[in-house]
Amino acid sequence: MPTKATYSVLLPTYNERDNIAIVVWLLAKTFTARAIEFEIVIIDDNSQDNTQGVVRQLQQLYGEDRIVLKCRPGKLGLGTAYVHGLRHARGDYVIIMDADLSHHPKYIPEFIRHQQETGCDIVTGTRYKLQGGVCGWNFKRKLVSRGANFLAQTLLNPGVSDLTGSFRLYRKSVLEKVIAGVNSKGYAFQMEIIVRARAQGYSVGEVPIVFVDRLYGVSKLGGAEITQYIKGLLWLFVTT
Amino acid sequence: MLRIYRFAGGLLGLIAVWVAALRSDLQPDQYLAVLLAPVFFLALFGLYSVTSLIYGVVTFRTVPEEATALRQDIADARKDLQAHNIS
Repeated sequence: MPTKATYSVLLPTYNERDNIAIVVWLLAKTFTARAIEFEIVIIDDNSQDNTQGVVRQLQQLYGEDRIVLKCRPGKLGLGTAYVHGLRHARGDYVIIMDADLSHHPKYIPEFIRHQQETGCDIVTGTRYKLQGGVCGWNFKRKLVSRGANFLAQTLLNPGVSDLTGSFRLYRKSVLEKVIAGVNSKGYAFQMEIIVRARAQGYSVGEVPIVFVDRLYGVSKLGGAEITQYIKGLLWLFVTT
Repeated sequence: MLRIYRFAGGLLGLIAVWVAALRSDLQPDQYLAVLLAPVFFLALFGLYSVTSLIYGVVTFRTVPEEATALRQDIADARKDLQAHNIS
C-alpha cells in the first residue's frame, strides 16, 4: 500500500525485557517489508529487569530515529504514558498496542489499509467480529469478556463491537484532542477514548484481530479490575 | 444531549404511558396485566441478556494456530536478534 504517511507505534513498557526485542523486531519487519515510514516510541516506567538496556541495544541496531526511548521515574499509568509518548511522536498516525506479544504486528497493515480506504479517524481491532478471536482463554475468561462487552454495549451503545481492546490506530491529532479529556483507569480507559471520540464526531472503523493471551506469564484480571471496570462504565454512562 | 438525560426522558415517558394505562378504564384482568407488564419486560430483557451472553461465549472464536504461528515468529526473531548480539 503506497503511503507517504509516517506511523508512530507507542509502546508503554514495564518489565518487558523478554518481549520488547521480539515486538520491535516484528514491527520493523512488518513496516520495512511494505516500505512504510515508522518509528517506535517506547515509554518505560523505570523497569527493574533491564528493559531499557535491551531497548538501547535495539537502538544500536535500528537507529535512534527509528527507536525512541522515553523513560519515566516509575509506574505512572497508561494514560499519561500515551500522553508522554504522543509529545515525542513524529508520525501522522499513532498505533497503540500491548508490548507483551498478545497483539501481533502483522495486523498493522490491515489497520493502515482500512484507514486509507475509509478515511476514518480511528481503527480499532476487534476480537468479537468477523475473523477476530482469541487464543488461550478458557470458558470463564470468555464469559467475563463477553459479559463486560455486553454491559458496555447496553449502557453505551458505542457503535464498535470490541470496546475494551487496546490494539488501535489513531490519527495523531485526534488522539491528542480526545485523550486530553479522558480520566478513567484500567480497561475503562480504552472504552472512554472510543466513547469520547465518537461523542466529538470522530469516525471509528474496525478490523478483526486475534488476541493471543500471554504465552508466558499470567495476565491480570481479578476482582479489583472488574470493579474498576464497572465503576468506569457507570461513570461513562452518566457523563457522556 | 447527555446519555443520562435521554435515558431519564425515555424512562419517564414510559412511566407516564404506564400510569395513564392503569388509570384508564380497564377490566380487572387487564389491569393486572398492565400492572405486571414492566416485570414481564424486565424478565424478557433478562432472558435476552443471558441468551446473548451464552451465545457470545459459545461462538467466541478460538484460534490455536495463532499461538503456533507466534511461537514460530518468536523463534525467528530470537535467532536474528542473537545474530546481532541482542539478548
